[in-house]
Amino acid sequence: MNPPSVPPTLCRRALLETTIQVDRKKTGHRQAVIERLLEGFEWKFSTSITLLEFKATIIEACIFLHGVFRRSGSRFSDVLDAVTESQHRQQALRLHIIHNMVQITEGLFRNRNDRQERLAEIAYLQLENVIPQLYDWFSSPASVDQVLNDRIACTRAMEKPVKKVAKFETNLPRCIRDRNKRCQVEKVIRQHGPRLVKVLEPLATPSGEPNPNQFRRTLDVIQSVLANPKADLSHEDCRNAGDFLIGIEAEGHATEALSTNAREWEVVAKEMGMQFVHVKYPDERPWSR
Amino acid sequence: MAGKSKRVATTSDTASGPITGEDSQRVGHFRGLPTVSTPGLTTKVTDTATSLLPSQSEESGGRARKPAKGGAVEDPALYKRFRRLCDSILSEVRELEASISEGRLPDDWLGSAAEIEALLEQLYDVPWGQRDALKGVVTAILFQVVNADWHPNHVMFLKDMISRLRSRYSIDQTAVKECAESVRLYELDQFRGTATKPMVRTHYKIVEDTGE
Repeated sequence: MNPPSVPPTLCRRALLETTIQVDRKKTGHRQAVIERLLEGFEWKFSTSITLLEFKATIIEACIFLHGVFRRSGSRFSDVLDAVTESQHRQQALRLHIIHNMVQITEGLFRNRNDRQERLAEIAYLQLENVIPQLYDWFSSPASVDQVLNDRIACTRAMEKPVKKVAKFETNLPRCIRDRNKRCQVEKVIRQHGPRLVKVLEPLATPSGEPNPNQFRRTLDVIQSVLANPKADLSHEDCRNAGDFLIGIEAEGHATEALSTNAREWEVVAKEMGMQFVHVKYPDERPWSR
Repeated sequence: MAGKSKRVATTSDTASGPITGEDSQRVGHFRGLPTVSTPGLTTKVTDTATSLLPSQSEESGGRARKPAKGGAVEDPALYKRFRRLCDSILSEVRELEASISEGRLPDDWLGSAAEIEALLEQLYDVPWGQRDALKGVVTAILFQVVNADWHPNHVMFLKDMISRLRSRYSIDQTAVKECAESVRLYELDQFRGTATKPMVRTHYKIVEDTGE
């Protein structure tokens, strides 16, 4: 990577958080909006926690679908129906992937009696091709100049999805210190936690409320680490405090934070000394045209 | 190239019967209207341009998903069939390449595309190579070309990929990786039809099957 030709302080350096990285792959339309925005930046950064969230969302959805399409006797339409009926929080993302597949598979194997089984086979074979490529893309020069990894160094994020004989290995196993976790997340939270508590307390919903907001979830994670010297966070905890952890990883590196999520990211960007860039797309819903 | 959209695959195969089969007759079917309804749960895929079609009969084969034990298949007749299909696809692709003018495909490129897709489906069925490697490569190719609005890069990608495939005796996972490289080389979208919403010729949508 060549050093920038102007002093770093004058460079515009973008932090791309998870929603942006996912949207860059979801539709050509959103990708075009983001790429146009990024033309104004000299450097593009992402972080290890963003990669963790990328794995937990789009890659996780692909791995889940790979598993169900690959089951013996699996039929494409049955999987489609089951996902449509499910109440899972990733249902929308899973359906997005299946709908995309339908655009391809509907032209295939029209006259076969075992068509639905073949389409399921095609689906899992393509997911098998694509899952490692999605992971590689995230850190590639086509995506960002650097994945900032020197502060938290999330172990889960650094693990590429690996297919065993039939299925992919567990995408995000529970993190256990000294067994499968070498990251610095607790150390970083202890270092930055006290100042973040001051920012978060006025914004967080009251403790114990049934629907805590994102600030409350983040605050709970930070306080649990500050109160317990033996705290051992797992990736779910890190995702609960994801926005602020991403901000900590990029603090001092990025000058501007790009996100579609203004509610949390305005606060994170301000606290981490970045300017917030709210990314919006023209309304794609057919009924609003 | 005129009238090509009416043509069906005519390449024969000495190893296991003529390649021309029912599948080849699907030339021109690509704008038809498919259904993915199942008893119990209820979705259909429709072409937005037309109305719903009746359900398609779906007899379940219930095939096992376990890869074949023993790795590579070594039957020479299968290798012949594999080579002949590659030759047929290459011949179609080269014909299409020759008709590219001023960086544009001819107006009747859809006929050739349909024929190439039909041949790729037949290639998918050839049990040659290690485990599902050939199926994996053909799948990766199909996801780039099916229902796409082709431009010269699609043709160059097909030529590159099928040439590489044809020159191999052993088909394994490295062939799948080569395909990914080729997709990037010809600036196609490696996530088309999975993570990325594809640009398509015919848009399908899923609607509720009310049973009427």
